[in-house]
Amino acid sequence: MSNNSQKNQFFSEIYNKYIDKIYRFVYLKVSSETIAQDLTSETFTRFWYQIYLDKKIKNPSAFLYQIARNLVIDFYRKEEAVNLVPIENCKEMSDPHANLEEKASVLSDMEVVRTALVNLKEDYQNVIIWRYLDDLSIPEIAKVMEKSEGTVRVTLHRALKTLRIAMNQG
Amino acid sequence: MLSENELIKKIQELKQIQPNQNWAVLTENKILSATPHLNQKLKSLV
Repeated sequence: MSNNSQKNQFFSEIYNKYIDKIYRFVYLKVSSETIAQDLTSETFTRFWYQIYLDKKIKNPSAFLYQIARNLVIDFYRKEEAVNLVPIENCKEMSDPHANLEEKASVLSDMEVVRTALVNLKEDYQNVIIWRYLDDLSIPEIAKVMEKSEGTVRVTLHRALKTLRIAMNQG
Repeated sequence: MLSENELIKKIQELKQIQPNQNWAVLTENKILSATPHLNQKLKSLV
């Protein structure tokens, strides 16, 4: 990429494609809007540095998730475990006209599944997030995880089974 | 016991977690406008 305008355009395309996914990926792990914003911002800043310096990025998706994962790991190394922030803090509800009882029910369901999800081991969390929340294909997940497609399928199957058991116990 | 489809549906409810859109726009602009500062920082490192 030769000029700054092309770099800006490329960055904006990737940013708009992945900002929701990276934010959600981080939020689910840190359970804090402010921290998720900080780490997401840092993820894209590092991505921008690479573009600005003309570094080749073969797979932007894998690159972004890898940075985000590392930042979350660093965060937990540096900080004491943060208190869980209630899921009520999430900004968007799918149906703003739903009545309070319906909203409460959805929030409760989300909290149950989120809590069960974040208590899984990291590989299980990630594979579920990538497959069912970020809609990545098995080959795409294999690239991000640097594992074979067969391994991803097995991991996904085990992750779902573990999550189902956890939710039934909860 | 939840069926697999029911479980996946519950997982997908978490798609409702999204960043504040104003924050997302401001952050994009902030990162892109940091370029001159980045340029100076990089030069100082060389």
